[in-house]
This record gives sequence, structure tokens and C-alpha cells, in this order.
Amino acid sequence: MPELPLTIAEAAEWLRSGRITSVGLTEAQLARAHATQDTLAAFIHIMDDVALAGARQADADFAAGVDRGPLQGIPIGVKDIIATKDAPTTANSRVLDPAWGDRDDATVVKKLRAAGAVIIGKLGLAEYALGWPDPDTGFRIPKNPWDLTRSPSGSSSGTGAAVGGGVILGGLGTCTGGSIRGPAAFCGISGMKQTFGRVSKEGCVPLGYSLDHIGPMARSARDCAIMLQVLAGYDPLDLCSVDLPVPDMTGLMTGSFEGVRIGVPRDFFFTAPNLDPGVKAAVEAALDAMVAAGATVVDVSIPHAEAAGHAQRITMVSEAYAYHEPDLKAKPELYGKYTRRSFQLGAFYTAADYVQAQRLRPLVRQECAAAFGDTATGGVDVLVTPTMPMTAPTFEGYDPDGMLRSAGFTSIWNLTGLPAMSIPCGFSSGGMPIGMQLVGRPFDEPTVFKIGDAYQQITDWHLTVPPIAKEAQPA
Amino acid sequence: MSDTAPDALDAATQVDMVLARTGLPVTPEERERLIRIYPLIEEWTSALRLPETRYAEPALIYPAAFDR
Repeated sequence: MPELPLTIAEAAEWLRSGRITSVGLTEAQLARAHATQDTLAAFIHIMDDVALAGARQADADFAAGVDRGPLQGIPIGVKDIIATKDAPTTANSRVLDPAWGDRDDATVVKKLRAAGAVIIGKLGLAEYALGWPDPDTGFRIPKNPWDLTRSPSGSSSGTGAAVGGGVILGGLGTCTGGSIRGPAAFCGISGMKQTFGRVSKEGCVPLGYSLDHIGPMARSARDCAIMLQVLAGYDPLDLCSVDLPVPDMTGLMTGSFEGVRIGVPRDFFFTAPNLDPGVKAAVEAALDAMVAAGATVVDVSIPHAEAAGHAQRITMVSEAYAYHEPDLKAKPELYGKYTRRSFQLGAFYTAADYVQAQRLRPLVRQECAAAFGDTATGGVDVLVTPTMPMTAPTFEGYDPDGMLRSAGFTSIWNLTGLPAMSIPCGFSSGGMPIGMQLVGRPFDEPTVFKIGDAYQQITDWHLTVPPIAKEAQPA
Repeated sequence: MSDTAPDALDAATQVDMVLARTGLPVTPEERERLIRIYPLIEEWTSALRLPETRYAEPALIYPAAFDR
């Protein structure tokens, strides 16, 4: 059984030392992808020929002395809501016109290919990145690699399952309210939703125009930083893209907590009634570990955090309804029932409700600015919260409407646009992964990565893999 | 103009009015669900009417430029 690297950073070293070739790595990961389609069900479309051609090119480039950076030769999966020129795009829906996908690569895919990455396949997701899976649609339902009876969360369910299950080293997710960080937390991996506007969303089917992000999911914070370095940058094709220089995403990584100041918004994020005590204890333990390593913890407050969740929901569903209204009227039966139900709520918000949600955004942004404070006078570098209030639920018996009354800790960062990353910080008594969320100042992803990486230097939660990752090893 | 607000309509009437206005087709089960969660929708929208936002500008930007 060939030994395979666990992280992108490790694979990049092996490729350059000759310990492995891109073709060898890609063949092994394709074999895993196929071998787990009846269990993890992570992919909608596996791109064998395209991937192997990309891998051969990467190996040829290495042989010719051409090095495009740490993603060269690395197989990467793409959530199947992002356009690829050589594979269909479904958004996991029977509703999306196949002609939508008859186009060039999305900007992020072009960037990955230009960096030498090997596009290995299109990953499963919640239909149109919203709702709960409906088996009646005929699409595979990705499973949690730690327990196949449980959800990997959504909407980037396939990316979470594939990275968590050791099928791929990294993949693209999208996030409108927590769809990168939720699967990262439930599947025991790292996932970054960077600052809004940092990465182009051109070529992605929209959910909520003012909230959508495309971002990296991988085993470690360092791997996410490596991917974001490639994905980031101004794109005139995306109206929301921001024309700012891209910093060195790994440049602040020292492995040290000396001088690091962490803000902890205790109210709401640590007091919500639906917060599982085991999740809270794991995040508190992570804070203790960071303090023991030299960090300082300061309590901070975001008074309207709960209302921010309502504003995000109203914004997301209203924007989605504007996009989906014609199809909801013309062919409602083609949607999965849970997706259709989610979008139907958009008919019930008024224009004034939507504008009121936008009036809340500056207020919450001001509260976040106050929570971070001024770094010159004792402000904090990041905020820390639990990512999800609980661990992964079972598919059986789950009531999606039950979640409507539950507090969430991720969507506020889509509303404010602040960078937020989930990293593993422990396991429940039942053996399911728990995620901790690190939130940064606008466009300060390097600090978030620095602290995430430092935590991963003193813990190994992110390197703990589920049994299925070993079973999926090719013979 | 009346100087009093009309009595609050019940959730079923509110839901049926929205469905009639929008022309959105729903199944009987979906209509029942919408009636069931309509109070929650009202709760969420009411929660946004904060005194602190009474005179706030919304986060809506429209750049008057031909290239954006």
C-alpha cells in the first residue's frame, strides 16, 4: 500500500524531492474517489482523464524545471456549483439549465490551473447551496467520513466529506452563511471564508449575491493559506471584487502565540441555549491551550450578534428568491423538497425587510470594530467562537425546520464580510469532530492563518483521520 | 385614512394573501408549513426594527460608473 501525504504542504515537498509524482498521487486519489462513491459519495463527477492529463503536465513541468508554486501537481476538487470548461456543472439540481455550464472555467478554477493544480472532479453539495438533501432528486448524498449515518453539514458537503475522508488534500467550497466552516467543523478539517471581495465569485451559481464567497477547504490552516494565496486577487468580472494587494498568506506564521491577543464574545456565542456543552468545553479547552502557549484572552461584546443572524437569513433568502422565482413558478417539482421550502420563504419578506437588514449591517460592523479595538492600544488580533453549536446530526430523524429556531455562529461573518476560519479543536464523547472559529479584521487573513497554524503546531486534531480514510487506501 | 390599524390577520390569511399576490405554487403540505412558521418570519423581521438603525444608511452601494 503506497504511503500518501496528509497535507498539501507535505505533498508539495514530496513532489519536489521525487518521493512521489503528480501522476502517482493523482492515480491514488482517483482510486480513492471511485472506491468511496458508494459510501462517502463525495463526488458528482470524477474527472479521470482531465486529472491525469493535468498530472502528466505537472510532472513534465517539474522535469523541465518549471515550478508554478506549492499547488503544482496537487489534485484539487471543485464544488459542483463552480463552472469548469471540461465538466458539467449541476449545482446538484435538476433545475439548473445544463447550458449554463457551457462556458469557460470560473475565475478561481483558471487560477488553480494556472498554478499547476490538478482538477480531479466536481464535488457534491446541498442543492443550489441551500437546504437539506432530498434523496428523491436522484443525486448522491455526501456522508460524514466519521460516521456515515451523519451529515457532513452543508452546503459544501462533498468537499468536507472528500477532504475529511482522505480522498483529496484540498477542495473549493462556497459559503453564504457557513457552508465552508460548517462542513469543516463536522468533518474535522480546516476551512476558510476569507474577507468578502478577496476572491472572485465569477463563474459560481449565486445564492445570496452580497453574502457569497468561494474559499479553500483542506486539512490544515497552512494548506488553506496556500490555496487562498492562489485564489485571491482582484477580478473585474466580479462586481464585488476588491482591488487590493494580496498579502503573503503564510507570511506571519511563526508557530508562536507570544503577543497574540484573542477576543472572546461570550454573550450569545457561548451562551446560546442550543450550544452543546461538549462543544463549549472543547473551545474553552482550546482557549486554555492558547493561553498556556502565550496568548492573552480578553472578553469582548457584539451586542446585536443574534439580530445579525436574522439579517443574514433575510438577505440570503431574499436574494436567492429573486434568482429562483421564475423556476419556483415554472418547474417547482424539479427542486428537492427541502430546497424548494427554503426558497419559498423569500416570498414573505418585503422590500422594507430587505433594506432594514442592510441597515443592520453597518451597525454590526461598528460593533465588530469596537470588539476588535485598536491594536495600538490593546485591541485583539482575532475573535474566537465555536463554529457550530453542535456536532454532526444523524440523517435519520433530522428536522430541518427545527434548525430555524437555533442560533448559528457563522452567518454573522458573511453579513459583515469578515474573514473567518474553522479549525478542528477536539472530539465529542461520541467521537465526532468539533470546530473552533477564528475571525479576523477585514482583509487580515494572514493573522487568522498565523493563529490557526500556531494552534495546529501545539495540537494534532487536524491530523487525526477517520477509519474510512485508511480503508480507502488503494491496494 | 383610518386612525386605527386593521386587526391583525391570522397566519393562514397572511400566507394565502402572499401566495395569491406572488403566484407562487405550493403543495397543501407546504402551505401548512408556511402557516406554521409564519409567526417566526414575523419575529425575525420585527427583530430588525432596532432603534439604533432608525436613521442608519443601508449597506447598498451603486457605483455610477460605466465599467462596474
